[in-house]
Amino acid sequence: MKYQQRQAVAVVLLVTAALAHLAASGPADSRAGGAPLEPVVPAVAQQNQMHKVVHQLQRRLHELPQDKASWARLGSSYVELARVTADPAYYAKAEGALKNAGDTGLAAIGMGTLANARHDFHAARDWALKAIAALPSSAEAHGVLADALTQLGDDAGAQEAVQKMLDLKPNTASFARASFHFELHGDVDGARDAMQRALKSSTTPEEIAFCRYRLGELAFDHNQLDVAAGHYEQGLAARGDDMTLTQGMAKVAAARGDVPVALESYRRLVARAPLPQYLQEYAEMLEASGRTEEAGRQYAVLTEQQRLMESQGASDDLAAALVAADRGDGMQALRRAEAEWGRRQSVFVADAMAWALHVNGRDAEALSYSDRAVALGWQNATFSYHRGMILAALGRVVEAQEALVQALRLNANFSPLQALKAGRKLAELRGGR
Amino acid sequence: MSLSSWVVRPLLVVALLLAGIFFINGEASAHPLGNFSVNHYHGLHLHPDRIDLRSVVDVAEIPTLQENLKTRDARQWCDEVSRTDRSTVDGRRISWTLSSSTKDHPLGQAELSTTRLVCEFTAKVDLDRPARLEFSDQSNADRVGWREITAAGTGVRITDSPVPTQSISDELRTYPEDLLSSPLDVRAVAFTAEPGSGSEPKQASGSPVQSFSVTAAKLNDILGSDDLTPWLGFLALLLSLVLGASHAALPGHGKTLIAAYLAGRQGTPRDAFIVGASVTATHTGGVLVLGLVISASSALAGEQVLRWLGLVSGVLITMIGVMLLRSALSTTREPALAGATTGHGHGHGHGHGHGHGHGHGHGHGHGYSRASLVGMGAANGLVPSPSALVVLLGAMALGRTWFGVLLVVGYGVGMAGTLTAVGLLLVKARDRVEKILDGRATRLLSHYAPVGTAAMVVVVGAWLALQAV
Repeated sequence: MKYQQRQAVAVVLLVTAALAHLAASGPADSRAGGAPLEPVVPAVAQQNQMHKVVHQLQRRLHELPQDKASWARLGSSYVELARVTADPAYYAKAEGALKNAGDTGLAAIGMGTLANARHDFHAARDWALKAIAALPSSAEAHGVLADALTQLGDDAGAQEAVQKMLDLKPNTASFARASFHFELHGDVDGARDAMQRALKSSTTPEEIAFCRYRLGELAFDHNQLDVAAGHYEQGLAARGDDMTLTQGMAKVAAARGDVPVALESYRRLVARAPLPQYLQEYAEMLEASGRTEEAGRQYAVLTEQQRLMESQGASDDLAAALVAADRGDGMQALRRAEAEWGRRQSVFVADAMAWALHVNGRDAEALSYSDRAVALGWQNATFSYHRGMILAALGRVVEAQEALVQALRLNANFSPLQALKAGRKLAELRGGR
Repeated sequence: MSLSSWVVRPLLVVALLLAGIFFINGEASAHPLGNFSVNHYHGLHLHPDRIDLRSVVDVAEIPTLQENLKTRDARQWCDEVSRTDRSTVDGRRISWTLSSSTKDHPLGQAELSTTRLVCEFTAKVDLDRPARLEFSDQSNADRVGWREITAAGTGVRITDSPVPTQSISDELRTYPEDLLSSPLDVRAVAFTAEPGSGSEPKQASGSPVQSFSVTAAKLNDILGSDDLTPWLGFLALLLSLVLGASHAALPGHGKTLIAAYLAGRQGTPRDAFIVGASVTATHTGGVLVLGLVISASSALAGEQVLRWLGLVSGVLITMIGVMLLRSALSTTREPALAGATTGHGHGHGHGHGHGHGHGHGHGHGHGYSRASLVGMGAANGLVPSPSALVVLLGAMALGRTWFGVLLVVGYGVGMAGTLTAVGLLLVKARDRVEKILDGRATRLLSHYAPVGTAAMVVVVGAWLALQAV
């Protein structure tokens, strides 16, 4: 009996030791900085509606980590935060959160939104279809599909998705997509009306800022500087730190000839969010005002930014192709444009192909892509400018003049640098006749 | 240091790890907070006669390029940092005196540099009676980035502070990747300070983990000191020994496992030394290789590597456990049948489960268990301790790589000391127990203990592996 007791004690000791090991092993020192984090209330949570929603979801999930619907909502909110704050750190968080959301329709909507944001439109379409299969009457799922199909160049499919979305839920999100659809098809009035209705049904500052920005863009793209400025300003009144609206105001300032103000706005913009688009616009504005050296610095940052994105597998070939073509790097432009065309054949990519081919002197081929770019009827100054330059190179002087006039008539300020070139070419063509 | 997520091929890692090589592959985002973030940390440390402030700015690739930070003077920059802070005691502004400023450029992604600025300030302030302190950081207000403030006191008690006493990002070195927290955004703090204690820069629990990270901090201070005298070097080496010894004394080092094993098998003092030496060799080698790889490529995340190593370690331990179990079962079987009947069913059941394994005919003698001892030690040493890694990387950043290597070796020797001591203690203790017990019990114990301990090794290994997944 005595022995058995001792034996029992020995066994208990061993088991206890093992349990202590299990309880204590690992986290203490096998994971750097792995201390579990209590949700810290960020300072901005008090300022921003969206941060507030995210914070609530985070707290809820701390209590109920099994709540898949909340994980899906949190993931989608992170995608939205990434857009609003231009902070890509949220994309990784979004993906993580959505993976916790399980195999649900809501999770698929989130994944699709994320894929669209990352310009992976094929994946976005697949996620959208999955989401629609699970939730056939979800307007959001049809919205994800509409965005993906528009970018993939499936015009009929995109139209159907937008219509379906409008039928299901006529709100800011669906009116905004309808507006873009009208704009792409050259119906500027329809686009404006739809955007006004989107604005009417918008509730959050982020939505208001978005609608105002789009209305401002519609005006700016059609030479209505004062109307554009009005929208941008009203948008800023709703959301003072919105970057898109700040960029809008900077463009207006430049168009009105107030170059120092425009440059200062851009300087602050690229300090806050050195997105390729802003870097390029800033560089072009510097170049157009003769500050070549500073422009060179911005172009250098832009090059490195693109290299960095490429090394992360997140390169945007469409934007890179246009930048390279504008800067006369024909090889790079064509390589990037062809890569994108291999993935999707939308009007945006058709225009990039046309422009890249033109820079390489292959204007006959360029024209066929330009035809595809303008096929939907989109009144886009940049497209017209590209088309005009291609036609001029082909010696089709009258058509070239028409296209260039069209570009400048639509928007004399479509680009500080390219608009100058368009004007110069037009004068040259007229002089030659 | 820009550490971030990366993708690996697990099988390759296992294969190459054993050969002592790391293989890195795949997409990596340059900075955990995006490659255009500018991140700020301010650590306030209150003393009865002064306030010390450590301000760290971690700048990702793009802003480093945009603002041409490589040519920027660290001193001037630190002065600017202190100008954009607003610090008041009872409403009166205090002025900071810069005591040191360092700037370096850890390599980020796509061979671009990042920037890390560390400024140490101090201000003479009498805190011998209660005072209200406010601090806010107004620099780079619209830049995207992590913003963190901590407040601690030595001889000063801080009440109603909204911020912790210690940095959760290790002063902008490892950003927690928690799906349920937004990037930290603390730009201002206000709290009351009064003479007292309880707000030391470690958590109040006073656990060994904390005091031991204080030692590590001390070590880093020595590493960073401007003139490294032989005396200071010796002190640092001594500290690293203590650090290693106390690190090994923490849970999570398979000591229970080694102990159980030594107690269960007929372990000798020599076995205890073998385990200690093998842990030291693996750990030192692991830290050195990892340090080199991390400093050579910032695409590699320390945290991730540690997880993978944890997994490999767990799998190795499980494998060793299974082998031990097999050999234990085959040696236990006959004596068990001849001995107590109570053990019969037990031993037999296991015998069936692993029956097919008996045909291999490997030897069960001491040689076999010695190999598995080395293996177990190696598996335990495989997960490098983050603090040794930090010390090494710190030394590298300061251009004192060899000194760092020396410290890591010292660290390993310290670890080995503790582990060997624990092993010896257990071997002796087992001898004692065996003397107290007699006849039947001893026989039983020496017959069944190997099976039990081997099973435990399997369980612990599997658990470690699961935790790392």
